Amino acid sequence: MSLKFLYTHQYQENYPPEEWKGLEFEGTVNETSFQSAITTNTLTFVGPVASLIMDDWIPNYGVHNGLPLRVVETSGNNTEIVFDGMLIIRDKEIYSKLGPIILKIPIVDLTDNLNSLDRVSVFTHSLLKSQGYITNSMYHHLPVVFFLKKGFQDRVFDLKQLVFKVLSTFFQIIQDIFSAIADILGASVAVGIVEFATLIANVFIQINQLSDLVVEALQRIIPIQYYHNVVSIKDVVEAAFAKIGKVVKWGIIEDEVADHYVLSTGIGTEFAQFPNNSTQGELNKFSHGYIIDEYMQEVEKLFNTRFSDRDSEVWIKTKKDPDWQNYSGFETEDLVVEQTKQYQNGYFRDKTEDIYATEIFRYEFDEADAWTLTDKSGDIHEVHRDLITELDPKMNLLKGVKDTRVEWAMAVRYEPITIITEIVEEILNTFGLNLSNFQGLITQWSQQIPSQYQQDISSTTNLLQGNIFVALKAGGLLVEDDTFGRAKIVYAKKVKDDQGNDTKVLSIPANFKDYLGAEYKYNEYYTYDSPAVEYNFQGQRTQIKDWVIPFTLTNYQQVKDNPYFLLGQIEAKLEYIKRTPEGRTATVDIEKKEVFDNNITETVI
Amino acid sequence: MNYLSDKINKELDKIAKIKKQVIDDRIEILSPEEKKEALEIQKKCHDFLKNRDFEGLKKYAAHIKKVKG
Repeated sequence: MSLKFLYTHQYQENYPPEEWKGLEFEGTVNETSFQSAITTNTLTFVGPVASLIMDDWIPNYGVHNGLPLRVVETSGNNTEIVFDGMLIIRDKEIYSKLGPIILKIPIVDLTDNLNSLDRVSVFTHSLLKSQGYITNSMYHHLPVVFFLKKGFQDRVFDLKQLVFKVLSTFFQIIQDIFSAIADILGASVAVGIVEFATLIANVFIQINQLSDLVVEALQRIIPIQYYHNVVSIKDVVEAAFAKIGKVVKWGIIEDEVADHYVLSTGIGTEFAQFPNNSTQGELNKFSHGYIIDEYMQEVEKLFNTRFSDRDSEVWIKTKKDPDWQNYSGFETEDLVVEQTKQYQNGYFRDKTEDIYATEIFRYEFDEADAWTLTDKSGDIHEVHRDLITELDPKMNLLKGVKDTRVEWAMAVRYEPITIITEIVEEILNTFGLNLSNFQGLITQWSQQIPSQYQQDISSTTNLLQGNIFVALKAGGLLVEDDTFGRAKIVYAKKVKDDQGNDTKVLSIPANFKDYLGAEYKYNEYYTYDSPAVEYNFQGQRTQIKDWVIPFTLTNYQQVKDNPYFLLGQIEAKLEYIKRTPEGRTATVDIEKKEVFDNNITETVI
Repeated sequence: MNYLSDKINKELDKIAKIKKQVIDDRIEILSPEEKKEALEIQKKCHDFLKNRDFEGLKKYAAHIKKVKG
């Protein structure tokens, strides 16, 4: 092992600082990658390096140009830059000006510790669109149905009046029939037959008029449908990483991520009457589009992901993805935690801070959209953890709430039959009539929906007619109007054409909560972290802290991109490393997947 | 309102009974020739109604009333 110290912008090798033997390099694991730094802030230079600074650097470049310093560690054929920074010449302190010159100079680490996630976090949707990373081909057309929840009672009142009118007219018709029958009694049979037939004809005509009235009234309660372009979460994230030359690997969640879309706030958003590319399709949070940082935070919550930089790839995979079990080649023995009178090497602790008495996964609701306020099923899931054996409630140490809040509102699916039926049913229940006739009418309309409506609706006439029928089709995103204030998270499938090929038009499937609902998200992605017996205590972890282990440059290279390794046969993760190259050891903190409490159970609330 | 709908349903039942009494039952007691003629008239009326030819029915009814009235 050797350390080389390279100075100036030509990185010329020269003598090391006085402290070189005791230099410590610190690495902190941020989820999966190291952020490394040197532990000391000031180094002492004497001899040739001090002369270089005083006699060469300062006369030529002054004190306000930092002097580059790079430390390279070599072990066998392995070479690694372990420090890349500069000397802050302006803050130097001179302890001797004559034979030898002694300088103490602060140093600063310029190592670029930003990982790929940090880099993409500052992008916006609009930036990716303007630079061509998000293209029109990524757009899909989401039907959005505007339907005022707040007008519900008004509509019910109008329709009650209508039904009253219908029933009154029926009653009048019947009275007319009775009065006509009285005349038939005195006439011949033949005349009676034609008189009765004429009566029935009059009834037909009046019922037809009433039917027209009913149809017009029902049209008033049929909502209007528009379209807005959306880009899948998968495409947005992949576009962001493409900008920095990285390919995203999703693992087992790839297909599901592709069916998740985000519709921006309605404020200032364009909606189109036809599915096309005229609307921008941007995540338009007041024009710039959502910052990818905010976006990635929600993706992490939706799928409980880990992030990892892997050369030209980035991994955004859920924690239970089997790919994470591709451990680094690092190995160490699991038996050296020990204490003697003179010496303590490390200690164990349980990571109880990761265990919560209550865990909630929820979507935010949109105060500006009554549908998200009233359609509450599936947007929150709560579990409570208890002790299997509790000796005294006052001494129960389980505590804390983990509240995972997705900042987007969960989609509400437009289901026309339900909505219309809901209104009509209320009215008809009032009058004690059978619903089947009205349902028959609705079914008849539904059958008239053209399968290729996007082509069929090619004229204004067709639009006016078609809007009624298109709007009857279930699967749009239901919102009150175009002023909703919170972005919507949508799970949607591409509509297939007659040949069975995917089109660009989306539809929210009836079972969308099976994939977007809070219960599904918890059960599918968060039970991996559950400490309860129902999930085999798999979320429990222990920790080994301040543990001194043999640690070489090769070990460092093994774990710096992938801190996961097997400790014995158990999954473990390096959380912190402070190493001394000269001593070939490191003091580490390690997290270990290990059950420490088998007395916890959880209940769905 | 429930009263109204109940009333309508009951009245419709009554109409069906009265129609049977004033037309169907009377057809049954006619002579074979008159019965045949009455059934033909009834069939023709049904056809007009079935085809929603209300104008045709109106003219036909006027004709029958003129001839048989």
